[in-house]
Amino acid sequence: MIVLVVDDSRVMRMIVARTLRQAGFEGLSIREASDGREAFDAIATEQPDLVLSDWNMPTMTGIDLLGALRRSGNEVPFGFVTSEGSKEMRQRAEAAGALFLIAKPFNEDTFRHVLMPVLGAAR
Amino acid sequence: MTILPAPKRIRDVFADLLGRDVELTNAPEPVVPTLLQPCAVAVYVTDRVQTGALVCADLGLAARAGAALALIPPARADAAVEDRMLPHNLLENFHEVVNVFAGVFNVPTAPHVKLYAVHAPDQFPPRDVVAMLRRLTRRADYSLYIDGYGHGRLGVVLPM
Repeated sequence: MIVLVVDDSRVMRMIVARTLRQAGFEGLSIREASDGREAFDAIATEQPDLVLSDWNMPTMTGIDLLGALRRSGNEVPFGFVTSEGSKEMRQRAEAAGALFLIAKPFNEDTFRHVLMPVLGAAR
Repeated sequence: MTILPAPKRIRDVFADLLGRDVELTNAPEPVVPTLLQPCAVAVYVTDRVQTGALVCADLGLAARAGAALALIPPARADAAVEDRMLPHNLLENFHEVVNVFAGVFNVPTAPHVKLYAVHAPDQFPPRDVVAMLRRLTRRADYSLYIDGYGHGRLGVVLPM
């Protein structure tokens, strides 16, 4: 399975990838993008099984990325990993078609619990 | 109005983000940048782009939290403190620490804030930011001990 990690912070992309491994999701191919625009292009070519995206990013935000994907007919499973964990943000994410929102800071237990229904086969 | 976060909330954010134990105690003096004590300063703004909060981290905390986030050897953080200079990678990592730290201010009764800017220890912050950092009210100052990395100090300052 291919997972695309989208975050403008290099260290956060590294931590998300590390936490996926610590959560027991070993059989994944991790790809990275540093903003929504880069991710939109990567999704077209890589066809990932899941997108884990930050919310606030330069050039194109995570919520704008999700909107652009859905408008183009792309229904790739999409979840947010972001420091924005308010009720309003969660409602906006859900309304736009996100499967979940994981608030930073997170740990492997959170990843395991939230991602098992999506990535269960990769364990 | 933004409210000062509870000490436990601050400790938990650092501990959860860095994935290691963090001890937090009250600092005896306000954490303020001076020529002798360079600090990294994070500025948070409301959705109306008004200053919502400031976070001032001494070089020890900025270097050690930045190193711990990416599992960089503690000696690199110690060297940064000794050299009084935060290398780019530690500053970039510290930027992410204070970005996540925004969550402590975003409680249901307070206006939403997000990270607007981070001033590196070798860049003295703008005058209005320094003036706010020197205030003695609406602030809390802490010493943190990051397991395996060491000590640093943190000041949280809110506008009147």
